[in-house]
Amino acid sequence: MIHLDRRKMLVSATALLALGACRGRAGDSGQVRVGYLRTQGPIVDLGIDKAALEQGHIKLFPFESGNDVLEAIMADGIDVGETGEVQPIFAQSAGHKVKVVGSTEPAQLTSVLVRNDAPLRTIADLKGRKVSFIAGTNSHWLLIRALEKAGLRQSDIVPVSLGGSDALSALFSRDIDALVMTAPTTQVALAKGARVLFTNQGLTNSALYYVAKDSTIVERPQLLEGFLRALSQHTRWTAQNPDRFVALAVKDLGVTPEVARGLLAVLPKKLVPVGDGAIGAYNQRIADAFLAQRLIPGRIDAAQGVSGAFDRVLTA
Amino acid sequence: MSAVLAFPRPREQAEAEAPVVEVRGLRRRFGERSVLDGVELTIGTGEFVSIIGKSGCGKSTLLRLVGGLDAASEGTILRDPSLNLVFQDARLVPWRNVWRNVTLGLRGDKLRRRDAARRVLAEVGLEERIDDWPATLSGGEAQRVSFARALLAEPRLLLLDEPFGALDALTRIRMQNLIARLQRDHGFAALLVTHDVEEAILLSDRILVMREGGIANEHVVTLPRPRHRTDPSMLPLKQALLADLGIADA
Amino acid sequence: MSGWHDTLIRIGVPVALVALWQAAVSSGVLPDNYASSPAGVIEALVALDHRDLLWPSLGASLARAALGFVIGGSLGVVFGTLVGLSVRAETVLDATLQAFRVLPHFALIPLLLIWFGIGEQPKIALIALASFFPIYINLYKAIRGIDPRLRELAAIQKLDRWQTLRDITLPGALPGLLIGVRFALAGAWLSLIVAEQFNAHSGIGFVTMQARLFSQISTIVACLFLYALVGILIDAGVRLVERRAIAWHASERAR
Repeated sequence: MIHLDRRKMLVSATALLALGACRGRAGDSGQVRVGYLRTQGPIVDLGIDKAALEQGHIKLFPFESGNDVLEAIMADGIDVGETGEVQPIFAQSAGHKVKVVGSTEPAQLTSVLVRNDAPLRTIADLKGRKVSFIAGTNSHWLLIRALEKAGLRQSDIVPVSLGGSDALSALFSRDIDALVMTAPTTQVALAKGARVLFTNQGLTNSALYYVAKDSTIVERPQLLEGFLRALSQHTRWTAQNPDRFVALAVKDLGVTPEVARGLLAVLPKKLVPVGDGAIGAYNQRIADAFLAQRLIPGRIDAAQGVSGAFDRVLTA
Repeated sequence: MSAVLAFPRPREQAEAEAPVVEVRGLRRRFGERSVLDGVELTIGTGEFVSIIGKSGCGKSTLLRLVGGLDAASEGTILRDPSLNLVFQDARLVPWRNVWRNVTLGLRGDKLRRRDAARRVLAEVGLEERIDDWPATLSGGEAQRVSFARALLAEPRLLLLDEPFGALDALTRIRMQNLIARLQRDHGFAALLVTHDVEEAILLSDRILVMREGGIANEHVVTLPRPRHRTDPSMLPLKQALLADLGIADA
Repeated sequence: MSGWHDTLIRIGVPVALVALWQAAVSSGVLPDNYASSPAGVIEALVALDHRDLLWPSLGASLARAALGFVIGGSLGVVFGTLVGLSVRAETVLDATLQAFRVLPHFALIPLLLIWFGIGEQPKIALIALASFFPIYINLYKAIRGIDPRLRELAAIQKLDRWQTLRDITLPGALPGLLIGVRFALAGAWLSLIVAEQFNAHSGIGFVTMQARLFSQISTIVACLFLYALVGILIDAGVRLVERRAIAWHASERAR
């Protein structure tokens, strides 16, 4: 079945190498390649804000999850990406040179959901239960923090790893007891018969970070600055045009207007500077919490993973 | 569809007279086309009958009907149930070696089966190939194994459908001699379908000429055995048969 | 002499490509976050072994694939034989089964998660599904394709039903069955790779997902290499069995 056809191997090997060489460096075209979360965060409707796109020379690449965005950053597929708070920690702990260059304000984007009729009432009730979450994301951090607060560890629950819609159907078919979710899937789940056990309020920030490689910050800072400035202005634009946002969410995300409005309500309304030490300290808490449960390989100095180089466009 | 019966056993009654094959009013149609149109045939114990005829005259169909591989549209066939067939293709099972091919369907102790195979293979001169595989045999050797398999069943009737047609001339001669010898030793009756007029004369007690679905002519061969190909007394019969077939002898 | 020459080339080309790959990365032509390097892959494999992940993960993946294959394959043999031997069975079963065959079974994963729950069952089900069809189809075609002259022979030699099945039908269908087995194994292994992307807590897929979390390209490529290696070994193993079990087939076809 696998034939060592010499000619075929030679041709495909050459093609691979050629492909690799083609990947090239962006920014040659003067555009900043931005990876973003397709269904969460302030970039959801950036695509229709033509002014912002032009001003920032932005090319958008949608991703389904922050982990995918981080992968793209590491692979030089994008110049800057929108992730949760945990992705840069994981990258740093693996020795990768990335920094957080911007952040949204804290938002109520993440929740733990259970079935309407479930007997679970508090965080402590999660002990021994099957809980679905994607590792390395804001959801993961919320779970860890909540368990910490209740005196529990991740090993006290049964972790399950399913994607959004699969996790939802597993919840309703009683294969799992709880799931940790971000908007807008949370809103969708609520409409279907799930209940919020608790949100990230009072536990985690659940902000979205903007992450870039060290090399990009050093070599092409103007691209990043342009992007962050444009995004900062865009968030204000969205706040002034809520109906546009709802219309887009209904059309492109395929959600109902109620869900869209619910998403808009929890959406972060502005970006915040990251260089003043607060984010660094907060990230250190995340890193230490994960390290304490041996979920990351080693101790990191989280402040090293934050860069205030672009704060001036974020303080407005 | 007609009733096809087998002879009742035991055969103590008038064994020497009871025919091994009896065909009455046999017709075989394929849709509109009539391949056999009223054939009558009797073969007695130990009798060697050949059928010759041009392609398409129905001789193979007749053989297959007598052998029970096909069902008649009309008429009756009585046949000895111990019959066996040899085809133009040797039909050896490729995943069994020679002796296991010869003993296909035989029950009983493995050593006894192999021994029985050995004995019958010796008769066809292939004893030393007993453990070999069909893929290693030549055309003639494979056909001989096929004969051995047919003989092991100790048939009172052997049906042969152009058994030597795929073999080269020299092998054909050897096989004809073999068949003559086997028939003499075992005494089975035989029905041979062949293209080869000489072969028919060499082996048969009777030769039937078929034409267009029926038996057109019958020749009784009174030549003494053992017969020799070069015997000049064969010539008149040969010419008569060729004339029957519509071929002028050059 | 030419046999040695051929072998040399067959081994030489992949070795040369690996050397080229390493050279490309070492010289900087190929960035090493693109596909790592042979050295990086070996390092990653050694690291996995030190963390006691290499062999247990291979074992877990193989066990999953084996279980799914055995289940799917057995069902394939049962249904293939049934439909091969009985025209009535074909009329009743075949259309339904073929309808399932054209469904890309990877697309069934969300349904499998609902039907079989989370955990091992949907993964095994996916693998079993992939294993079933090649065996079912190839076996029943092979049984139908038995030389009718051999079936006639069975009648002449007065073989009863069981003898015919044992001596003629099943051995005759064996080459076709083995082709089905080869395809089923390939499909099973491929399905395993996909199945292990969903909620895996063991196996090579789990190691891959962990490596993705930490953007460890070397480990990811090492896992791909492991997947490919096992796939090749399995196929080679079947071809070996094929050669032994049906030596008669090869020489028959050479005639």
